[in-house]
Amino acid sequence: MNHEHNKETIELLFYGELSGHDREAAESNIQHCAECRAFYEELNKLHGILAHYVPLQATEGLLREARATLRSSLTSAPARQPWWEGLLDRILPASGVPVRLAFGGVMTVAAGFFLGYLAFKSPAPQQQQQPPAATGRTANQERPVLPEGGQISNVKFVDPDARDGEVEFTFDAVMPMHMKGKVNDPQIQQVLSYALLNEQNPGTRLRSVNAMASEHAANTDEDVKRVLITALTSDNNPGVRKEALGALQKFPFDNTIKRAFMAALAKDSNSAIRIDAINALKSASLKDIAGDQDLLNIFRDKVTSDNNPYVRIRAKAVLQEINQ
Amino acid sequence: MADFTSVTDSDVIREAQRGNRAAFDELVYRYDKQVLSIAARYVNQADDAKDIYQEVFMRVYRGLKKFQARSEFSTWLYRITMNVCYTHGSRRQKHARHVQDRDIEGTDSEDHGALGVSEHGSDQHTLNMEISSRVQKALETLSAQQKLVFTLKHYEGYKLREIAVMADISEGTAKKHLFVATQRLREQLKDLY
Repeated sequence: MNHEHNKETIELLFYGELSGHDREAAESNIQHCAECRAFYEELNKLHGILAHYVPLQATEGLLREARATLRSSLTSAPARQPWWEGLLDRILPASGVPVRLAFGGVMTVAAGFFLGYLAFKSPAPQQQQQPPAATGRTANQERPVLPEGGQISNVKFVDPDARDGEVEFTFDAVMPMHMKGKVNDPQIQQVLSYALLNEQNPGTRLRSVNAMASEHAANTDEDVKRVLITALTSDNNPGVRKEALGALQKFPFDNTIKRAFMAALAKDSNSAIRIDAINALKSASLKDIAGDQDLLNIFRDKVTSDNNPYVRIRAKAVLQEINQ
Repeated sequence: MADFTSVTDSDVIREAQRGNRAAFDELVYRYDKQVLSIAARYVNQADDAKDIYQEVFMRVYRGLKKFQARSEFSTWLYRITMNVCYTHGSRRQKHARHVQDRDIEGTDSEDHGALGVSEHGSDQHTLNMEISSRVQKALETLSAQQKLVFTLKHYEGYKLREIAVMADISEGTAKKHLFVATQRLREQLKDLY
């Protein structure tokens, strides 16, 4: 028996990469070969260890910062096609090189005359600088620099060199806002989603998920579902994760939600959440559990190795119910 | 300003190739979260993730005119992302930082992965932090390609054939990277289980 090949197959099975005959063969190996079974169990333990480490996620806050930096870079980046090339294309579309060269020559001479004019003309009288207005607006600006009551943060210089009299920077301007509306309103949901993923106060995150799970919520929005799944799999407060799981139960049960519940059952450090995951999977579809080998394996693993006795009992009861 | 939200990708790309900034912005908004997610999980540092994001979309901006839709835009974009990650990974390996000196206290900072906090108090919390640190160090010992394939498979849930397309490698090579990565992680973390 080629154990090395079997190990690779078992690893692919673990990651849900196998189907059909290949999957059956790998499962059979695990059942009948002690060494293969030991390797599968070792992979299980390795993944349990890996679950302790959750790498950085692309939160809304991080995305916002990245977008702001990109915006300022694009603003200062040269246009892909200089405007004069586009103009030249329109004036001399298919004229060929010689005409373009001649045109370029004429423009160079004209530019020379213009530069000479600028260099030798009489200087204009100096204009008096207007003092900035009390609100931070200069007399020549129509747009306020600082919103009233706003706070500036995250100032980043694009061009700090003030020798030419100008500087350029980006910054975040945070303004207090008051919002009231229906929980299904897209803007309200956007703020709730942001709060659930980014607010440091777990109480705020809890209230956000409760609002998203309220009886009046539509529970069909894919973005809301994704946010709830992120909260279930990565919030560091077990109360928030528990509420997120409860909120997800109100969505139509699909593969994405099933995977999220499976991950909670397999990896959540809180036993109450693992029990909720069992109950959620059971109430969604026993048939689904019976037909999903990965899920069955998680249940079997919970029966033998979960450190909480009630989780073991519940998992066993579900397996007995589907005669597994 | 034109609204591109209900326009197909190919039409948005065409408009962006003509220099329409709103179209380019729409293109960015459709894909940037995934790009940032890949970068964030790969480098596990907010500033580095943003640098990768920036580099990826500046390359897209500069190269969009040459994009001829022979492959999906997403394939092209994710290939750029992988290449920028590799380059970034190689640069980091040359200036290897000492992970044990990094401050991993607290879960508020965006610079660090979330920790598996359990309900059992400070001893368990300390243990979780140590395990997290060990896993992080173990991942840093992988090559750029191994780490990227492993991260995309384990943390992002992509299928190996998808990872192969994104990285412009064969599926067999992607599997090899995954197997080698898992083997190395097993060796490094064996004493923890």
